[in-house]
Amino acid sequence: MSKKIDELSNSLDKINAGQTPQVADTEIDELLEVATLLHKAALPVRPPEHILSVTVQRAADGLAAHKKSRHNAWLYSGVLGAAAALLIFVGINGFPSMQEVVPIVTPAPQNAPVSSNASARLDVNPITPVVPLKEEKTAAPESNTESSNAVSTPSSNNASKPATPSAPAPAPSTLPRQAPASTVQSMKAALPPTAMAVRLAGRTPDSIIKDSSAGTIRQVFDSGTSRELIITQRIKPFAENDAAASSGQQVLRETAKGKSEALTSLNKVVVVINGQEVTLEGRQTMAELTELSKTLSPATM
Amino acid sequence: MNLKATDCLGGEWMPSEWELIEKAKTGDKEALGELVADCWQPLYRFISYKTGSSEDAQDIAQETFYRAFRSLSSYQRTESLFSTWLGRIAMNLITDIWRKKGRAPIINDINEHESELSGGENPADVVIHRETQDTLVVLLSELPEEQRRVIELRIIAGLPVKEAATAMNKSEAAIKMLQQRALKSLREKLLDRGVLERNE
Repeated sequence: MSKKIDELSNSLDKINAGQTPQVADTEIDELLEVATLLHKAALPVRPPEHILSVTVQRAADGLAAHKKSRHNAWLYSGVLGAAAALLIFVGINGFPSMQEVVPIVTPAPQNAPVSSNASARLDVNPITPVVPLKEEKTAAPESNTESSNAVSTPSSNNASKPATPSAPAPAPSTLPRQAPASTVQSMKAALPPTAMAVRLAGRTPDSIIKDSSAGTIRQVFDSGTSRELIITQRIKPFAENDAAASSGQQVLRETAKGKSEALTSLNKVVVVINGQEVTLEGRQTMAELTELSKTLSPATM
Repeated sequence: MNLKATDCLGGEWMPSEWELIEKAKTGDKEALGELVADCWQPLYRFISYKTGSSEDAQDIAQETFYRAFRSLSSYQRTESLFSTWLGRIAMNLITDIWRKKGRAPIINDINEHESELSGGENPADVVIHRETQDTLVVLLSELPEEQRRVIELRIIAGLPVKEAATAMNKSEAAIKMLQQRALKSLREKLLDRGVLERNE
């Protein structure tokens, strides 16, 4: 009996699989006829609850997966769109300059030549014209040496002293000698009539050198010491004859450069006073030189 | 009688059925359950035919619904019937399983099975089919509850013994005995009605 039951059950499975079972037993065959009729009728039937719930849950999982993929698609497309917009914006406008244009004012390194990036240029309000140089007094003593440059001190120049051979020798200086007194007249002619000397407040230069070829007046303070200060005044107005001015500048630089072998590297500050270029050179710091430049004032010689 | 291909949802496209699908798209669980219940049987039978295994048919049917609803937004009303769309998904799944098993996939035109999936028939068979269906429904209702239920699960739905036993909370042996008893009872009724002829 159980054998027939199993055979019937197996045959039903074959019918469900779309097959046609072949059985020898008549009773089983008759029952299968009924099953086939029922199967072909395809009556609508609701699946059992435990199957339906699992299938519905599976379908819901599919819906959730779909919504998540759509959300992610929107998210990805949004991110990509924003990135594309950013690229387009950058491509149109270009990257901003990452460098700031900063004027470089650097002090000279201790061992570097003076001419290399050692100067700072300051434009000072023009000082009112001062009394021109009193060449008569400087030209009076003919007994001065016949050196290329006349070396004199302001204090001695101011005094109306008769020139004597026994006049005290000027303080030694590493700077080139000035032209001899006999050349003062020529210098006078070379110097523009409005040439003005500047004075450093509260300080007296050890020497003043007038260079007719370069058109400069050079004052040396604390000569031979570590605090030596050189103030070079370019006589020719800066605005005139830029070629000559540049050559003058070059002479100055070269001179300073030449000195670098004898002296340690100097800092340099350049100011413009009443249209004339005044250079302060020394071992002082840039800040110190700048402060000194602010104390410059016209002076009578 | 203007016959049209019917759908597992009960007939030609009706606004209510399409609304059911639209509701299911929004995540309405009730609509989703109703849609699954209506389409499950023909899909399961179709898969059973193609795989020859009731056990595999159930897993494939569940996976079919998962994939169908995962891409439900891509299904448009102007496309083939919903049942046909389900059958296409199922066929792809069956083909993949066959490939994994090293079997050559059977090339099927899903449209050939549309009648199976949707219950559509040629006009000549529709009337007979409907009359037979009506008779069977009446006779089934006359059977005891358990006998009717086992026939619905084992034969009409086509579930394997194991699933029917789970659904009815009985052992597999009990299901086998119950289905034999049920088929005998139903055969007597069909003979009395003249639907079946006695073998002399």
